[in-house]
Amino acid sequence: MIEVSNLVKTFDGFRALDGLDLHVPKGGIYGLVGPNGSGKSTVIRHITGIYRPDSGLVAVDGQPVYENPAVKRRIAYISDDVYAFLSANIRDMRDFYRGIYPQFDMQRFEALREAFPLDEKKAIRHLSKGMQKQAAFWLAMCCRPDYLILDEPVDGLDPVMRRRVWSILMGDVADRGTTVLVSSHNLRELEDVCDHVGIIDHGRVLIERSLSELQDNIVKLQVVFRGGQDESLPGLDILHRSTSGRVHTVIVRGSQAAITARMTEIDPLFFDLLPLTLEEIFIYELGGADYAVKDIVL
Amino acid sequence: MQSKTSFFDWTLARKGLRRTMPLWLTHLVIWVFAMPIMVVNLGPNVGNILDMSEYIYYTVHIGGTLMAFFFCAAIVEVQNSYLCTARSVSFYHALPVRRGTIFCTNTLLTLAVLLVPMVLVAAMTLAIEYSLGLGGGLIYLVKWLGMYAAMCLFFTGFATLCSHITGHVAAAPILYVVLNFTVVVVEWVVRYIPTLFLYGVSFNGSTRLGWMSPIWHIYTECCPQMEYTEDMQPLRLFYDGSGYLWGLALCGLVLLALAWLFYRRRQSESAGEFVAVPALRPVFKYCVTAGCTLLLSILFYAVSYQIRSDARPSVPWYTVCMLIAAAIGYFGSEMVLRKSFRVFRSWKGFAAAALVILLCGGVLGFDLLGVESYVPQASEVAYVELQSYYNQNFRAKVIPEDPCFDNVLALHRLILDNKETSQNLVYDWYAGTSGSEQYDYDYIRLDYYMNDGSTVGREYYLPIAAEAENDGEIQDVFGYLALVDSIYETPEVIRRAYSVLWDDAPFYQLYYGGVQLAGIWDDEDVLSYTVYADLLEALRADLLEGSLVSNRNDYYYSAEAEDGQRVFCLNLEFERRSEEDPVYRSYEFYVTPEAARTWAVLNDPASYQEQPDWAGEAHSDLLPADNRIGRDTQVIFLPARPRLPVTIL
Repeated sequence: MIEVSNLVKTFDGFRALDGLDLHVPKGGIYGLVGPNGSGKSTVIRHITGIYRPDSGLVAVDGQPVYENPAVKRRIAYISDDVYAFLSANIRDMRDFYRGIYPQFDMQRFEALREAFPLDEKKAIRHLSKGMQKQAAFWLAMCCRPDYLILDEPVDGLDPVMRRRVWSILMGDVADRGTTVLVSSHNLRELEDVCDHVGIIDHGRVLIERSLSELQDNIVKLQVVFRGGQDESLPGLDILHRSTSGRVHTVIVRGSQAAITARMTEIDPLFFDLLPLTLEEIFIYELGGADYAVKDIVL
Repeated sequence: MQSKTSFFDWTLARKGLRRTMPLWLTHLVIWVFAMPIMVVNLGPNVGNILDMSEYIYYTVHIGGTLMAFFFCAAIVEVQNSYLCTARSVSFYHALPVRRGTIFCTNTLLTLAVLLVPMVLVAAMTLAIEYSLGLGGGLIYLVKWLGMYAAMCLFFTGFATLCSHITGHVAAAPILYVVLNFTVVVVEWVVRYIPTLFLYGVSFNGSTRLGWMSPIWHIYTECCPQMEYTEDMQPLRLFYDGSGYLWGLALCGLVLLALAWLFYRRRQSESAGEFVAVPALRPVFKYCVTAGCTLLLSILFYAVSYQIRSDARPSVPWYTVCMLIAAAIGYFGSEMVLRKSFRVFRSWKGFAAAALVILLCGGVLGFDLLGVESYVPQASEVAYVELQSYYNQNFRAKVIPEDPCFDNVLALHRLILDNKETSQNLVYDWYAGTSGSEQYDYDYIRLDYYMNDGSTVGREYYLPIAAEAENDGEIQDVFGYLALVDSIYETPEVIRRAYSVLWDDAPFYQLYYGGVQLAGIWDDEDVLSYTVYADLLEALRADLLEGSLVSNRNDYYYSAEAEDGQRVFCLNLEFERRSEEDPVYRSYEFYVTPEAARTWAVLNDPASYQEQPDWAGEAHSDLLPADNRIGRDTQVIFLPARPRLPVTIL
């Protein structure tokens, strides 16, 4: 389990992480989402032991990560910007990782060769961005990590390769109980693979729940009122509201059962409850945190 | 494979070895040419192992220093370049390897790739020496290796510290080169600036803190030395300055420890910053400001003002130059640190710097420290050396016990009292103003060697006498000349100046004496060894009597001024045979007609190895102008300079 508690990080007076708390349960895929500059990459760099916290705790299975090789040996990290030594090819990097990670699995390296059709003798820096990402996945998966930390992992990969990568990842999660922490802006994709989601903004985690809990806690309500009926929907925690003709679309925080009960009491001409996508949850939750989607009038 | 030791990682080492291969391979090839191949080539011409080892020591001294300076920095730069980009630093610091392991691995690898090949080079050299029949070189090769290792340790430590202070790929080498020469350059500039504005204050280029700029110190103060036997056979070889090199090695370890402390606390996010340690950013800013103030201000002042021929020192203008230079340094460093041109709002720091500069300008302009007007007390002085261009830069050493010592202080005070007049005349002369040309100008230098080991140096360019157009009569306008002469003609000073004739006579022997007409260097009449003793006796008597003139520029040049005239000149060369290298001293005397005892020797044709053209002619017969001696050159004999009345104010 990855535990981050009360983490603070300041860059030249700017508080990038402001007492952040994060809990990534073991054996699942945790999606970390948030607007640009919210602190996603910063928290990931703390979890991988790159940054030293100003204060707070970053621990994996109860052990602090920073300057702890025993813990870091169980973590593989793929950054949004893949690094390889100058003129190093995949084989060079494989040999390097074999030296650094004792559990590096050569059989897996051979097995994954088919999944990643890359020229192993070509310098990695001469590969395309997508190919560099593939190489990074190939090598990282061979390290047999207990924790896989991914920062914008599929950015640059084609749709086929994305599916292949997620398939391999989910295979590892299922077979070995690998814990995956993934930061991405591609919420539709995260929705398909994540079982837990944390929304981060201004250096703090706003919401951290399982995806089902999250989707159960916020619903889209479509309602048509009777003539002369009060349209203010009293007793509901409304996050957003829009109207098209007589149809009112309202984003409401709360469980489906509670909202259904309340709407039955109000008794409109018609109402329906729809589940929100992760993208919609992200937009409407952050709307309450001064990150509302604003209509832009040109 | 993970290393069992926590301070070294073989995987990182292997990677480092590959990355730095072009550098250490080049380093090795250069040394193979500089050592084994050099020994092969020199072997037939070098008769013994000491001479051969001296060559080897010189490779450390000349090439080795630069090699260590460059290759240590280059390899450290390659090894630590990962600290300079966010991508690479994230990669390294995400690896399951402690920072201490990375640091130690990189440092040990740097030293290993530089020094292990050197063991190979030393072994090859030793084998070649033995094959050439030059046995016994092992000890010198081990010392050579030790000295080179000491240099490598220091420069590796220095470069490592620089790379851990900075987070920018270009900053580390800049910092490394600049810091290596900072102390000596700053000392030069700080000691040079007062010479521009304070009357008489001088700087001869010597440094007290040069040891803090290692390359400078090694090249100027360290050197291989050979001791010789009486018959000039090499006896012992040693490197003068090896203690300094061991000190450098120790210093290198301290720098490495310091670098490790910085690295341990270093924030990965500082990659790309010019100064990676936040606490050092203000230090950097104000050091750059001070450096620019010192260096650029001189340049600005020279270009904007001093270049004029009639320019007199102007402290206000120099202060303006300092302020401009400080602004460049201050806001330039702010731009580098902030990576932005919008830095002018942080003017408060510059205002503080400007206040300090104005204060310095005031101190300099009003001589608030009293540097210019300082004349040492006799009780403070161990001895003083007086040098006068008028006396052919002859350096007269005077100690407080000498009767003429008060005259030295009186001369100094007299010069200061006449500062305004003298400076006006000198600057008028520079500017070509009418009236100034009627004076002869002299350069007078006073070096006080104080009891506390310090030195106080002053030099003055003075109008010392009226032109010699007045029938050769010298007009001692300010009284300088009489004081200078009184010092030069003091018997104690003469005995000290010509110590080879008195106190040092037991250690020196005259090995060459010749008579020459000054200016005709290829035509010299060589004196016979048999007259050396008589000649030296005569010289002692005439010198003390003041009838033998030596080192007088006024005579020399006034004689040369007339075409065809030459001054009769006696050249003597002495040699000291000591345990170390022999020491040679040369003297040149312009013989006056009054030097009767010297003339008694020189006039005797039997005193020469070959009979001179003018043999048999009495020197008095050669005077005056129309006397020819078989050449187209007229020989003139200079009169002793008239004694001038000394007036001590």
